[in-house]
Formats: sequence, structure tokens, C-alpha cells
Amino acid sequence: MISALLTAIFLSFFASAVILNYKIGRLLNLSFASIFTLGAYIYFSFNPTSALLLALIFGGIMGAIVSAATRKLSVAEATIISLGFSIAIEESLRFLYRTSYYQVMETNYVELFGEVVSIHEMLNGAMIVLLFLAFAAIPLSRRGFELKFVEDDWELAEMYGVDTSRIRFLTISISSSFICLSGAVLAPTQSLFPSMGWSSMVIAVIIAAIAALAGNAGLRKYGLTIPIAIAYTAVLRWLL
Amino acid sequence: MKKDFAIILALLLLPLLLRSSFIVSVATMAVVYSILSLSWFFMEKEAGWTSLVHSIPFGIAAYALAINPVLIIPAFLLSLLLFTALSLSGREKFVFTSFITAIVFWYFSHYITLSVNGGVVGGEEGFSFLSIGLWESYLLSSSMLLLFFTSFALIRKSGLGLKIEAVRDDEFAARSIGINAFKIRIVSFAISVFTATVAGVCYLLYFGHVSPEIFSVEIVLLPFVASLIAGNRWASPIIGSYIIVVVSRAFSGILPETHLLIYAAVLMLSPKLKRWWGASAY
Amino acid sequence: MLQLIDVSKVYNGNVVLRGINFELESGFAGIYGPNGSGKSTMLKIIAGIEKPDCGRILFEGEDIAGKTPEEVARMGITIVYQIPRPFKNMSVIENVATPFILRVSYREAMESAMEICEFVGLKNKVNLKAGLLSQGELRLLEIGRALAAQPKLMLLDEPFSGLDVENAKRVRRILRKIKREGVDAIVTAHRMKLLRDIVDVSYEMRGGKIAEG
Repeated sequence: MISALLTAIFLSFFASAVILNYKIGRLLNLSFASIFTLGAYIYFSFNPTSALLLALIFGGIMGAIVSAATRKLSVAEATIISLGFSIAIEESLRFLYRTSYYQVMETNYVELFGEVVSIHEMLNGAMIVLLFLAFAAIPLSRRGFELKFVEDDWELAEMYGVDTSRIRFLTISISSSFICLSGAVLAPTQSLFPSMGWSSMVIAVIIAAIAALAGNAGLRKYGLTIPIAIAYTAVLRWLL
Repeated sequence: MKKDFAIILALLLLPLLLRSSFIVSVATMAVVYSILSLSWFFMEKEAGWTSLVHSIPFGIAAYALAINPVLIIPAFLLSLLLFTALSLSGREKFVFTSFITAIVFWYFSHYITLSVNGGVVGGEEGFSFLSIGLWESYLLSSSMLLLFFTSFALIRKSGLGLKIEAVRDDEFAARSIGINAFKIRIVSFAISVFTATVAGVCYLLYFGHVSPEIFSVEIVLLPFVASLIAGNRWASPIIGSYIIVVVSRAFSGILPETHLLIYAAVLMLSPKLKRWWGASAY
Repeated sequence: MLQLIDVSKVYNGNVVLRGINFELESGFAGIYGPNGSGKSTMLKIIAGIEKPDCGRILFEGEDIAGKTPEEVARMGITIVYQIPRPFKNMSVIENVATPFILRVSYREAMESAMEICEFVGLKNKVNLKAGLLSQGELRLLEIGRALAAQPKLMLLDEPFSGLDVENAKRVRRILRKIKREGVDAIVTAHRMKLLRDIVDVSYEMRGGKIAEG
């Protein structure tokens, strides 16, 4: 149950990043799939502390590149470019690690309320809860107000002098950075292979699409990703 | 269009003159993918819908034929229904709703199994079917390619072509002069899906085997990339398919990821390439 | 021919049309009024692009209020948009031939389209992509395309807006020719002066209400 809840929190975070990039960045950022994988491979290649730091940096750099490459394009064009980046990262990983075998890493487990849970999974859950709290605090700041303005009406925000390009750049870079970090933190709980990020990506997009049906109003659509992700993991547990 | 036809005819005749089994096998694969790319190009250029889901009519047709040929018609109808349903999200969102659908379908295709004589077939292994042979496959798929290419040229110079293009350019303006835009959309989808279905049939008749790989990202992106690397003419998706197949074959022993890295590069450069080809057309 | 009975339209709580009553037997009717008075909304409602919140629209005795734009177009009403909406990747002649296609063969459609292009003064540009035309030429193309639908009633939404003097004169000439051909029309404009020598009867629209003026 705890494990399912932690998975739901992760999916909800992933879906929120997808929505945020769609609303602010005006693209379905498919590069997240491989940026997540990149984080996992970074964890696999370096010691844990440096890996987390490197994942944040590399994720941010990748996000910055995607943001720059997709500026002033239509949603469809930007989405296709992000897909190109995703494939480029995936194939580069395949080339660098030159293996189709699954990499499995070790993790420690603890017993919690009668359930065996991976420590990394718990760490990831805690980290993502913190990210969520930070995310929820953003609207209270001046930047948060600008973010909401851009999300609501991009063109109007631009006319009123909001630096939309900067907000877009920061949104895509920071969210990519966090996605990469979550890949690194989750690495010990997963089998590593170059296309591992796609399953999370697809589920996150589906959750985001359902949540977005709630409309454009404030944080509601982000908040809704939590019950939808919980429902998804519950259904999955029931099916399996 | 005549120049394009001449190029395609030359491409198709060349392997027949060389009479090498290896060249014909590469060419057959290229021709099958060319039919798929042409079906995609029709939907993109003529009807204005950028699809990343053509792997589904292509793959479903191959699966249907392998399981039971009677299933071909329901397979075609199912694909058409899927395209229509996805199109309800609008042109812009169609790109990614179609892509996500294609990926989801790829995952589920691993679970397509059948119970035969107490055993289970399908799944990761896929299904087998009797191949009609190399030369027969080449002749069949080449004829199909020429047939569709000519048909598309005729459609473009017909009333239906005008209606499809009008709906592509401005659906509302088209409706205001009396065109039933939704009906025209379905007709254009049907033409494209039918072509992709035939490509799927040719694929199975040549390879004699179909597995979930037919729904993979590579096949999803192949028509898009093939159509973009060789210009903006009607021969472009065909030339592009040949380039991809030849490059994949040439580098398969050295760097198997080559074609996927090309895919990535083309996708990243796609808006620039589109504009460049568009500008060079004037 | 056309009758609007108590037609109203509300957008987000704002009443745009307030119980409009209007009748056109034949000829050219002009509607003038300031921005936001409801002229364009009225034409869009007649063309089936917008649905009225209440009221009836009778065209040749049939209520067309709930019909789709294509159904209305097939009954013989075509609209010329204020901002031209050409099929921009198609040539001028293909743009004009498209409405003909609904009735005749491709070859006949092209022949008839050529006549219309000559009629609206675009004969020299028939093979040019519509997206490459100037604003004035686009307006002529729109009128030509609407004529190709062989309408009984044309709705022209501000046909002179955004045009320089020369192009406005060209459009005016074409409208007179259309009138001579016996096509009926409703034309809107900001000012009465723009319509005076074209229309048979004029109306003023203000705050969603219409009055003969």
C-alpha cells in the first residue's frame, strides 16, 4: 500500500511537470522520458551524492537546450522537437553503455506497517512531497503571480511586460532538472534500460490529460493529478 | 508530378535490371515502407493532419492477415475509427494524442495472443504467415506503390482533391461554402488508412512474420522522417524511405543506432527542414 | 426572402443582439453601425456560424436557425468574412472552383471558376497561391468564391474594411455588378456613406438593436 502510494506521488509529480510544461512552455515535453532515464544512468555511473547533484545539473542543461530549441514554435512542432531530443538521449545511452541487458541495482529495504518498502522509494517520495510543497508555495510569490498570468493568457502577459521567454526557459529547465533528479533517486528501485522512461512518461501524460479536463483554474489541475495517480496505482494493483 | 513519377519508376526498375537477390530484398523493404510513408504524406500534405499513429493501420493489417485474413476489413475499420476519434482533439493536439496512442498500442501489442491446439501463440514472438517469396513480393509491392501514387495524383486533380485541400486550409471557410468538412475528413483518413493497410499486408506477405516491433517507435516515426529528409515533393516520402532503409542496412553491423540517431536529428530539425523545403518550392 | 423574428444573442452575459426583427424581400440591404453594435454577429447567425439564443430566422419560408453553416450554404446563403479566409495553399482558380465542385465536374468547375476570376478582376492571378495575394485581392477572391457558390443571398461583412481607396473602388464596382446580376445581399459597414450608392435600403444598428435609417 505504501509502495503504491509512493508510486502515485511520483506519477502525480511527473504529470504535474507535464502539465506545467504544456501550459507555460506550450509543448508536450516528451524529452522527459529520456531525461528521467538519464538521471537513472547518472546514478548508475557515479557515487550517490555526486549523482544527485549531476542529475540536477544535467537535467537542467537538457531542459535549457530543449527550451531554447523549441522557442516560438507551435505546440506540435515543439513537441516533435522534444521527441527528437528524447530519442537522441536514449540512443546515446544505448551507444555509451552498449548493452541491451537490464541493469539492476541494489537498494535497502525497511519494514513499515507490515510492508517491505525500498529506502530509495521512500526518499523519492519524501523528496517529491517537498517539491510539491515548493510548487504550491510558488503562487504566493511575485514570480508565482507571473506564472499564473502566463499560464492563463500568454499573449496578454507578454503585452503587460511579463518576460514570458524567461519564465518559459526557467519552467522547462527546472522541471527537467527535477525529472532527472527523480530518475536518479528512483534508479535503485528500477531495472535500467535506455527506454525505461517511456512507461512513466505515457502514464503521466494520460494522468495529465485527465487532470487537465478540470479546466485551467489555478492549482486544481495539479492537485487532481494526485487522486488520479492513486486511482491508477490502485487499479494496477487490483489487476495484477 | 510527371518528374516524380519518372523518379519512382526508375527506382522501381533498377533492382529488376540488376537482378541481385540482396538488392531486391533491400528494395522490397524500401518499397513497403514507401507505401506506408506515402499514405502518411497524403494525410499530412493533402489533408493537413500530422499523424504519428500510422504504425497502427500498418501493424493491425499485418496482424489481422496473420491471424485470419477475414479480419482485414474490421482492422481497416478499427483504424479508421481510431483516426476519427483522435482527430476530435483538433489538428494541433493530433500530433501528440496520436503519438501517445501509438506508444500505448505498442505496449499492448505484446499481449496479443491466441490459443492454438492447446498452446499459446503470439505475444513477444508474434505470428507467422506464409511469405509469397522475394520477387513476387517486390512485384506486388511495387505495383501497389505505383497504383497509389497514380491514384493520389488523380485525386489531387479531382473535385474530391479540391474539397480535401479546402478543408485542410480552412475548415470553417469550407463549411461556409457548403462542404461537409467532417465527411471530407473521414474520406481523407479512409484513403490514407487504406493505403497503410495495404502496406501492412505487403509487409507480411514479404517477411512472413509479424511481431510487436511493427508498432515500435521506429515504425511510428519512419513516415514522418522519410517524408522530411527528401524534400516536399510527392516523391519525397518514397526517396526518404529508400534512404532510411539503405542507411540502416549499411550501418547495421557498425552502428545499429545510426538510423535512430538520424531520426532524432530530423525530428529536432523538423521545423527548419519544413520551412526550408517550403521556401525552396517557390 | 429572409426574415429575422425576435433574434437575440448573449455572449458571456453581454447581450449582443436584442430581439432583432429584420426583413429583406430582394435587393441589397445595408447595415451600418459602430464596432460592437452586433452587425457581424447578425450575419454570422444568419450564416449558421453562430446559433441564436432565441428567435427565428426564416429563409424562403424555412426556419434556418438551428442549421449548420454547410446546410445554410447549400440553401443559397454565403458569407464573405470581414477578415478574408482564403484556402491559402490553393491557387486562386482552385479557391473559386471549390464551391462549383459541389454541383459540376472538375473540368466544368475550372471553366466556371475562370469566368468568375475574370468577373472579379483576378484573371491574371489565377495560378498564384491565395496566400500570396494582397489584402484587396483577397477580398475580391472571397467575393469570387462566394459567388461561385451561386448564392441567392450574399452576406458581406464590412467588405471595405482595411482597403485602400483603389481597392475599395474595385470592390464597390464588383458589388454593383453583382447587384446587376440579380443576387440579393446584406452588406455591413461602419458608416452609412460607404454603402449609400450600393444598397436599396439601409438600417442602423446600435447596442444590439436595429432600426431603419
